[in-house]
Amino acid sequence: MKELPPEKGIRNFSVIETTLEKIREKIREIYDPKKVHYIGVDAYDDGNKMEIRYWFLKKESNVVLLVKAPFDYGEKVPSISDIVKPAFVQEWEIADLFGINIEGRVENFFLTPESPRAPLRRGDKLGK
Amino acid sequence: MSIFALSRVKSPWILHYDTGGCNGCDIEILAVLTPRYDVERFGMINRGNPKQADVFLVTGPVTKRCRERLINLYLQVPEPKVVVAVGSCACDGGVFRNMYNVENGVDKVIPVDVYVPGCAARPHQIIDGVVKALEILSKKTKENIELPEYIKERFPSLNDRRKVLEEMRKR
Amino acid sequence: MASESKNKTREIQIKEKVYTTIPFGSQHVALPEPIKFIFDTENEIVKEIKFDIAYVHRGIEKALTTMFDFRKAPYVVGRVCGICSAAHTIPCAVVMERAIGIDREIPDRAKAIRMIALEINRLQSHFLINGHLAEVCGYENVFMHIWRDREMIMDLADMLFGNRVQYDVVCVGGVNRDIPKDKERVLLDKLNEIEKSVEFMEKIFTKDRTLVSRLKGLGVVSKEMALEYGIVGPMARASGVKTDCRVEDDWGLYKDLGFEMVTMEEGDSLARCLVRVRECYESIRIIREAIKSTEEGEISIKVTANPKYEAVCRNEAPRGELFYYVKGTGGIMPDRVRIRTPTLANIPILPEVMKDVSYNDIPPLLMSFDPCIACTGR
Repeated sequence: MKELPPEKGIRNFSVIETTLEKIREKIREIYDPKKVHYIGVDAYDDGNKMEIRYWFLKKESNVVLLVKAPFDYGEKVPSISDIVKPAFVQEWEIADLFGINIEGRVENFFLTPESPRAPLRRGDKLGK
Repeated sequence: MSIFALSRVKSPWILHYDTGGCNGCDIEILAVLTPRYDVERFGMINRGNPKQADVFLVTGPVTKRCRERLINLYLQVPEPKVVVAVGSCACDGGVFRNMYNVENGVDKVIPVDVYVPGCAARPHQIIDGVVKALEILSKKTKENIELPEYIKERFPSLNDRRKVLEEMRKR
Repeated sequence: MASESKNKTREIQIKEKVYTTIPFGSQHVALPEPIKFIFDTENEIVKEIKFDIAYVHRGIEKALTTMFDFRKAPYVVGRVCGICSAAHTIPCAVVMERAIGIDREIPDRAKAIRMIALEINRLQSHFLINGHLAEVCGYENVFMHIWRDREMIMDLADMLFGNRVQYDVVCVGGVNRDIPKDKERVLLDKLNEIEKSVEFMEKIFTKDRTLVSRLKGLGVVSKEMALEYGIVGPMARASGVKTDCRVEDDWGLYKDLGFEMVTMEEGDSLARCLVRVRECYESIRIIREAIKSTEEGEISIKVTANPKYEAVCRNEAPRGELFYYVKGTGGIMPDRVRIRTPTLANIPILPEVMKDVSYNDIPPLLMSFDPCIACTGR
């Protein structure tokens, strides 16, 4: 779980790849409100597997940091909103848009009962 | 023209609702009320209260969550009323057409009298559209209301439709 | 007997904490955009807040990967929000350039015009929100004055870019149109007038007794709280956090032109307001410098490849940090576009600050946050 620094021309941010079990530990390790600014939560679906992604900014070196963990469809994803306080809003949003089972999610936070379920998902479509 | 109809055209009050547009048109509607364009010379005031409104300005492509609220507001505005769709996305969906959470325009949900295109609609266009709407308002009465399509869907029997019409005339 | 039973019911009510529920929105005269709050109040003191911010969710992130190719993307994301349209188009164009690998070849003149578009955008947004804040405080006179002066900025935008709200001047690979010499002169003349009206605004928000006593000490956000909740933009700067993406990201010429960050320590509504007013001076200075530093010339480069790398871009919108991520695959449509808007970062602190505030202070407090719901919903 080494931090991969930015590569010129390929990506301009560093990456830490981890697993779903260790993601909370890892974030607790790196997150410090005075030195690291929390940017946001994102998810990614390539058709076979999903990924949860947390974006941070290291204030001293001004480098954007991505912490990501792959998981299978339907797997329960831990929430980090007790470590990073403002994370809950975007976690609920991502949970709605991708149909991810994140701890403490609120149903229909961004979508409406009439809108299509999990619109940003590629594989393993949910009903309707 | 009855004295009520005359006074209605001289001081139409505006209700404004954003159904999920980009804010550009909403800000232009606010700009219409300020000194440069000064829509108050037509006797118009922006009122937040649907029960006092005559002109219903709608912006945005109507997201799924706003749909019910829009219908609710439309029913609360007393008859006769005019609906003005402001902006390209309110007219037919514009750039948001066929996105998954969008209804493609205001006229898919409630009947529209005047369309004001433009992204974003300029204040001059908005004033022009509202003045055109006033002409339509002066011809409307409580008697010649037609039920919109979505209400017909909701109330299939003729008896129920008649009741709804009477209810609307009372307002 | 009767009074006794009355007392008893009152006691029960106090024990069970019966709150009065007040809905605010989604349609309200103080709100130009649909947002809904449900306040549970006790004697007009707000105790619990629920919010619904998704009235404007349209699905733009998905449309960028399925409906529009990457050249059209800047124009589509301009429609995410009409108030900060230029602030959205610029990072989208930059992030696409980075994903193609041509971001270092963009001509300086194009960068300067992008900066001018962004700063004009920021000026009108700050005028807008300060005027609106005065209106919800009940000071309609100031609202009318500020919005009258705002029309000068709208005229400038109309003259330079051909539209009042959606500039659409930025494209992938540069900008669409140059600013000719005669228009530059008009721009510099108008900026002097705008500077005068900023001075007027600063005078009102520092000296006027009504506004100052209404806004001072309202909704204080301490520096620790600001850091803990990761808030961005003028809100963070009003609490003494030194953060501004204009110097942190390098898509523009801000570092070359010199940039002074406006910060205050108080963290209350008045400080947020004053940070916005003082940023206007800085914006005006940047526009002047950007015009002087570059000459008319090449404004765009030819884009031949499709985006194939991963890239991020952070831009300072009028409301704070705007974050774009794109993952290209080599096709004409990117694989994933993520837009993190400033209001999405500022929303989590809202219930915390609104707690134990009197209900009649909620509108000015909310407006000093400057929420942009169209951004939040996307």
